Amino acid sequence: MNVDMIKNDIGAYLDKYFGATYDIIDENLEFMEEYEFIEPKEDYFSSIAFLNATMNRFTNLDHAFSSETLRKLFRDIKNLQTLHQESFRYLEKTNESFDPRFLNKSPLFIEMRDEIAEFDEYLPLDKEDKETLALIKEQYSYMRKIYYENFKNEFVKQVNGILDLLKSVLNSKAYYFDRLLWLEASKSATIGRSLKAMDKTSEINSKTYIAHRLKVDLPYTDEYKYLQKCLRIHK
Amino acid sequence: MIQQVVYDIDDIEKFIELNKTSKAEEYSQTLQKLLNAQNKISIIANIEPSELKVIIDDLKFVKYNFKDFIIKEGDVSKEIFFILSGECHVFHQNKKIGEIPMGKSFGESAAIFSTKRNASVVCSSKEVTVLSFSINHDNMDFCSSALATLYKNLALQINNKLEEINSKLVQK
Repeated sequence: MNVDMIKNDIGAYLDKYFGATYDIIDENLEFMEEYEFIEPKEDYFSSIAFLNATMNRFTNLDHAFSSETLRKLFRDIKNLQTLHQESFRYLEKTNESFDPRFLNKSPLFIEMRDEIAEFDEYLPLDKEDKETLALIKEQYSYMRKIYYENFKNEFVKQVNGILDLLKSVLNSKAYYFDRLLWLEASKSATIGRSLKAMDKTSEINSKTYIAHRLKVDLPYTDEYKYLQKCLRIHK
Repeated sequence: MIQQVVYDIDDIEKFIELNKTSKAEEYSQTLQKLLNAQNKISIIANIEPSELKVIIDDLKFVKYNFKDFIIKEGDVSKEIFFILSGECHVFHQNKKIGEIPMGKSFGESAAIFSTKRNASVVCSSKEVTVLSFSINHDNMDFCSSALATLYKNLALQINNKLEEINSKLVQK
């Protein structure tokens, strides 16, 4: 058995293992391509918590301000964010995914375990049987070690690839969510009144809203630092 | 596994409308960046901004990673590049012949005369961001003064290069 065969074996398993996630990513990428969604150069992904909080705040002020499209986009982003978090947690679960999940499904390891189990039917074992059993066990352990090293590398590579793709989808969707959120909020008189303290000379959007919040919020809090980061994104 | 949100035709129409305004705004921001850097890009320096807007095509920001080819020797392409961040190395027949720092432009001659690229330009920093654009030759017919300035700039650029070569020869 050579390394390429091992890698193919692991690759085929992981493609299936992450199949549902890849399907979701593919659908999202196709959707973005079909409607020519742009992915803004700014890191919108990091401002999702701010956008979520703003959506909730506006909904509390005027529950009818948002369209069905905005609410769908809100749900969509939350779902994708959950998937991103779940995928991120995969990185801590390499062992769990390999042993027993991968080993239980690999034909090679099933065969080796069957061979070992067969010896149980021939008890008591003579010297030759004992030597053969020890050899198979040693082979099993050696193969497991080689497979695990390759599995770990491929697993981390695929999870990081998934995280990058999800981040790209979320960057784009968060950008459109941001635009639609302010477009709809600007039409609500109630929300408009709540924002009356803001500088009315400039357009009301995430950038001007964050700038206003930074003026009135207490500095050096975690929220203040986060808003500063968001302001850099929305510049 | 998460449940996928399904968008209907009304949602799509809203996205398309948002997309139009997003793209228009993005283009206008990129154009502003080009206008800010106009006089640093020798080929388009001193062209009236209103005419520059008409003769510029396919204006965009592009990011390259270390060792990425921005221009390949022998290729025919229309883009002119201006480095916003990072720096590049220039190769001719696989031999390094120069460096291009941030704030400099390249690729003008081949883009204007539609000739093959005479050198390769490769990203030498971890990341390079360039402003890339091409000249719309069809619209040039309506902007005679822009055309004149463009060729004057090109002549100046060629003259500067000749003077540089001459001074190197004299030093040798």
